[in-house]
Amino acid sequence: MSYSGRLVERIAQVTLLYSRIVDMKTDLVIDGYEKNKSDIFELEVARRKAGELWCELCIEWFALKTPQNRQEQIVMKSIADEAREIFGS
Amino acid sequence: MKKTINQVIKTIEKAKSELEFIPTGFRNLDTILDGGFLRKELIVLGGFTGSGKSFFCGQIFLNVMRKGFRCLYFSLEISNETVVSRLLGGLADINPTRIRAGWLTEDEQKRKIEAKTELASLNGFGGLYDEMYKLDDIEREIKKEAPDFVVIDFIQNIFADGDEYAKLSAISLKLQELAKSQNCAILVASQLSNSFAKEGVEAKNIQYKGSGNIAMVADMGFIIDRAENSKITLGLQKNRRGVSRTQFEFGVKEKGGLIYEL
Repeated sequence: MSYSGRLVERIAQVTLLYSRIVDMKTDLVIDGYEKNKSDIFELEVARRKAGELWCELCIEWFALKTPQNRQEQIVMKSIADEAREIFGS
Repeated sequence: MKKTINQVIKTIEKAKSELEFIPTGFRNLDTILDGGFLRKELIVLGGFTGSGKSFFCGQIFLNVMRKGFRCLYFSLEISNETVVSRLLGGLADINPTRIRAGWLTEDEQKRKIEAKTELASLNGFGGLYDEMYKLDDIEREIKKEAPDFVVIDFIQNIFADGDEYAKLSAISLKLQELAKSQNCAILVASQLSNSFAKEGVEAKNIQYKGSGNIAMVADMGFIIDRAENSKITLGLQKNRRGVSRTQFEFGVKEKGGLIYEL
């Protein structure tokens, strides 16, 4: 497997982790913010860290990869847009 | 089976496209190694008790996983909990014992959560074993999991019949055969012979405890030395691919034990 392929696998794992953290946090908020306050705080720290990791990996991947065709250009742009939307940068 | 020179050249040309380095994550070391370890290589890391062998193995295990390689860690000395606490401690810059005991300040708690998140993101890339002492069991797991990179800490604790010399000779050969047949790199930690103590990292011959055979079989041989608490010297004593007799200096962060290049 290429280095780029390995990065994509890591990005997939971090994306999965990020979604799981967000789901867990949402469940706790629904269950009651006050009684789950400390767990929600921990999950928020974890969410931010997972987001940072995700961005770092995407930047590393983008640096490696020049889009080969229009389709790849669209996929890479949509990832960048999604990152901006989620992390605001 | 006999092969002609042209056939061997063709094999080299074909293998070139499949050549993939497994970076150690330490820039200077990877530069000297042309990119890192290679599949099918057996690498030996020798050091005395307390020299930082396990910390160094753990750090390379983490660095290799970060690059998206599948890794296995066979700890024959310390528990999985200790290995992971050390990784967490290194990432969070907190003493691992404090992490295990839960004696953390608010800021440390935040750093621990961040470190835990980073390790969780590597969940699919690493497996740990701390109750596997037989070579047959280790071999079975490697064949089952098909990893890219394996760490065994340390070789003298692998259970096998025979006196120490015969035992370690057989184990070294088996590990070399495994690295080749399973197309992975194997890093194995080893204790050093007492006579080596007199010469230190500048010694001409590597003397791993119980057998000179490990050094002979290995594709790469390192000696780790921790002259002071915050500094590690790594000597590349043997390298079948090129440069050897080179030393690397590393710093060790006081709290979490994170190893970094100086």
